[in-house]
Amino acid sequence: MIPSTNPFRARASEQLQDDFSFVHTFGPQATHWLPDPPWDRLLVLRSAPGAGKTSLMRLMEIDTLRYLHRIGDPGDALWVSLNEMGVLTDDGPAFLGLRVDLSKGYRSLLDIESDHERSRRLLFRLVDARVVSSYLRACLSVGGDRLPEGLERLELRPVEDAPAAEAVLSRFGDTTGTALWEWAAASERQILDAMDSLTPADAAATYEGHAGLYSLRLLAVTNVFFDGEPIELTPLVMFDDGHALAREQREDLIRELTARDTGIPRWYAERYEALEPEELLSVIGTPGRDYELVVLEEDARRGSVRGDRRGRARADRALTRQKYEAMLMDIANRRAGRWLDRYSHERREFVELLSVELDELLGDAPQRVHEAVRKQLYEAAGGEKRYERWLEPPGGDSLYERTIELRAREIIIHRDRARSQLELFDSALPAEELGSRTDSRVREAAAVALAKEHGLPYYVGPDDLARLGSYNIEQFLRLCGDLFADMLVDISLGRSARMSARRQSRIVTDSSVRLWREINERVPGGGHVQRFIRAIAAMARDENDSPRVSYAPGVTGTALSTADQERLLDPGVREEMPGAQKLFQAIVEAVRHNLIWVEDDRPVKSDRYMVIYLNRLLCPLFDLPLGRGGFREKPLETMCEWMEDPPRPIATRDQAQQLALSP
Amino acid sequence: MILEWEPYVLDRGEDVPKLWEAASGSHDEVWIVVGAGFDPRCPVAVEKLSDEIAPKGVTVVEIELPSADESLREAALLNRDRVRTAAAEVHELAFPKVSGRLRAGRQLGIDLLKLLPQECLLVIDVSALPSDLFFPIIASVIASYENGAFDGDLQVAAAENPALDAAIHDEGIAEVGAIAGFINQLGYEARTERTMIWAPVVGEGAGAALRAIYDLLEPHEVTPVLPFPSRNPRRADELLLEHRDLLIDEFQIDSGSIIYASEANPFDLYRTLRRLRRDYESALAPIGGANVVLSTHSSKLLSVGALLAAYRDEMPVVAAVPDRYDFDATDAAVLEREATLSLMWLTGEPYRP
Repeated sequence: MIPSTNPFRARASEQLQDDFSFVHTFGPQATHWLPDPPWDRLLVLRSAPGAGKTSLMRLMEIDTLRYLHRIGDPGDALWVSLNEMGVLTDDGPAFLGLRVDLSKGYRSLLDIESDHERSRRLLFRLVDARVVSSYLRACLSVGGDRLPEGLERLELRPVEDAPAAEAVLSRFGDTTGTALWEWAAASERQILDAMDSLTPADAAATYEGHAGLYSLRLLAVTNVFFDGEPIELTPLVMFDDGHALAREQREDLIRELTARDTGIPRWYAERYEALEPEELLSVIGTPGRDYELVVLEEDARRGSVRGDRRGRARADRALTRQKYEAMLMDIANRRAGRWLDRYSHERREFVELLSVELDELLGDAPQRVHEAVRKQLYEAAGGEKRYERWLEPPGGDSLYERTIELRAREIIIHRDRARSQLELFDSALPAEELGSRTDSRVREAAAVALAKEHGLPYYVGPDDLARLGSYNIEQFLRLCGDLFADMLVDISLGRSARMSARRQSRIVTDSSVRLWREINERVPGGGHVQRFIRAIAAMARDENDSPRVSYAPGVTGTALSTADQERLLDPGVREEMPGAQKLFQAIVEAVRHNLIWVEDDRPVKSDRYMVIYLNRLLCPLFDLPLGRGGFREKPLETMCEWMEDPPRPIATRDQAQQLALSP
Repeated sequence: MILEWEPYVLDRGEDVPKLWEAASGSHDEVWIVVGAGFDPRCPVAVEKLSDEIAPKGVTVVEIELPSADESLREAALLNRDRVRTAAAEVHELAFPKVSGRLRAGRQLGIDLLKLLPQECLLVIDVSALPSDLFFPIIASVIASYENGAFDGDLQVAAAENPALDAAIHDEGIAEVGAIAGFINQLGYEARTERTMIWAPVVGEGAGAALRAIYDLLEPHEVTPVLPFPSRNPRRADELLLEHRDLLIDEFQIDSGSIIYASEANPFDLYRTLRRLRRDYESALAPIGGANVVLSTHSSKLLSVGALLAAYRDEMPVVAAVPDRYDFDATDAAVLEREATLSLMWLTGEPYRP
């Protein structure tokens, strides 16, 4: 068979209508982000773009859960996880999940109704129409019928003793499936046709609205029957892409969703936005008490589990960095497995095909590189007695490990020289002293330096692939796609699919260059964003190219104090300070497009900072390490100057990098 | 009255003034709508129209466009001066304050209708207007004609120059979504499932926009429209090569999905798209029907063909609005001289029974 499908690129096969592909490529560990039901408070999901919140919601939709129950393997990790949570039982799904996409037309309501109160009412009416139509659609799915014929088999009846049930029901009139559907369709059409009208007469009409979200109350005070039989599933209403609403619309909606008398589980998801003047959720109270907040990938980014997980996912299920990376590997293997087997009867998993022998990282002339590093170390030692024990041959199973050890020693020697204390006697430092000063971060810094100095492959192997995803599953899959595309070439030539270190490194660098170039193509204010990123990279390179590498494994970010952040948020300051408006826009857009990630309110020394890290996939372009590494705080004035000064040249070793970074 | 544009009126180059002469004779007033921007083609139609209908005088409606970069502001001011020199009267339409860029064209169309006399020759010059703005503006006038509120002759002018199109680069994507006025049933959720077919009219440099629109729509099928015949006979091949990764690897189209429409005749595209929609509706009727969604990434002229098809058959149109433009203004005078003016006559005299 001629290999032609790249499972990481073929968007058609990952479309949401393909339950098989979705379920079989979903990393079950992602469910660990969620707290267990009953979800009696509003659950807010927040993440950077591409982190997977929509996929998580899709998992909870009734069609997916039914599919899983129907064909799933109770021994499968996803099945087990959902079963443990109480979402999927042996008898079937426990929840009737439906998703409402808030990016579809709601913001435009502001153009047909400028009065806030009337606009709010229209918003709720449109949301109600869509909740009702989605609910009916989900119920039909459970009943095994379809639109529109099946509607007449559905009916909502009030729960006995439910408070205010009759009042709620009276707002909708007839509660048969057909009547409710017609009500929803008519409401939606009236509002959307108004937004789409082209002539002045149509545009001047006014419309009725709703004072609150009646649909959620309807679902709370009724049971639904299909052919007279109850559908005994708890409705779960999930609102996605809340950031697409205008600020006042988001506030109105989440206030309404927080109300305790809503009575049914509801989720709200939005993208993380940097430099918001005020935390949106502050209008609805306190996390843990009034709502639950889950920031996806937070634990993985921080590298630890937050202590304040009251009511949230159990700490033992927390998605730490290791588990997150394992989840990514799992997703990659699931995606590629079927195709590797089909095209080449390859039994090894995709991730395994990227594993390399360490000595490959020394390139084509490993011994020569090793000798050069050893010579460099001797030169750094300068014949001083102090360092003579540090020149003894290192241990290590592979030549690469021994070479890294030598290069790391060179860093330690430079650091030692910079120490202010003067030793009275020039005595040799013991070998144990070396051991205590050399850790994994120094070794990683040594590896970066070695690769740069000798033009060696560096961004190689499954661990680096996971880190290059930068906590963005879409980015990770795209990078896998680039690697898989190269594998397809070998497969079609009848060669092994295993990929050498040098090829992997080249592909990763090309992907990094492409991400950089795409900034101008797809990001608003892309020029400013590139300038900002470039300035961070230039600063990082200055630090990392120092022989001491003070912030091992290397600087990959910067930080702005909380006080400076507040100044930047002030429109008056932005108008006065040259570069401030460009900086503001650059940070906002860079976060929106996942080119940087931000850790708010981080304690540093005696102050608190917003720490800004580069997207890991940009690091190869600038020869920066991938480890979480260090950052250098900079005052607002300096960052504003970055936006005004001409871009600084950055020395690179690869032609593609040079072309990408040339002005 | 419902307009079908069968037959149609289209002319170009030296024949354009004849259409103006024919149309303006029965009207006291001649109006032209232009986008007041940096594009060197901005003053071309106004100046030619003003020469042709002198001494009658042309009333210009100048649409304020979102602020250009500093580097392009001077070019925009020069264009504005030339437009005002050719005009007998000028009305400025401010860029509206709306919730998103894709809502602006609809509001501009409504604002234009409030200004227009009931009868006149109205020329909408799309040469320097982005498609997300001129689509709803033109549609507003056609709708107004069909419901009897406007009784004039509408013509659409486009100064075409592929070399200039290639010199103006879109940068960044500010917004992606359906153009207001052309949302149609794309926004409806309370309806039966329909297969979504996306037909992008492909052009050079459209990769980022195509990807953004695909991510938005998640269509069941993609049927790209390529320009053929074309001034450059290899243009369709070159476009396929340029967008190969996207169209073939990611969108997984096959050669049978590709549609061709003449680069020079928007009415050919108009007919082709209407036929595409009918064919899909018919083929997919047993499983709920099809929703054909359009987007245009090619020349202004061709875009008007898509506009007419979308308007007539209520097809949604989506767009990815660029954040800014990059344009090297050197040699603009030469580039402008090489532009060919085309004119489509859409309402009024040719279509009266």
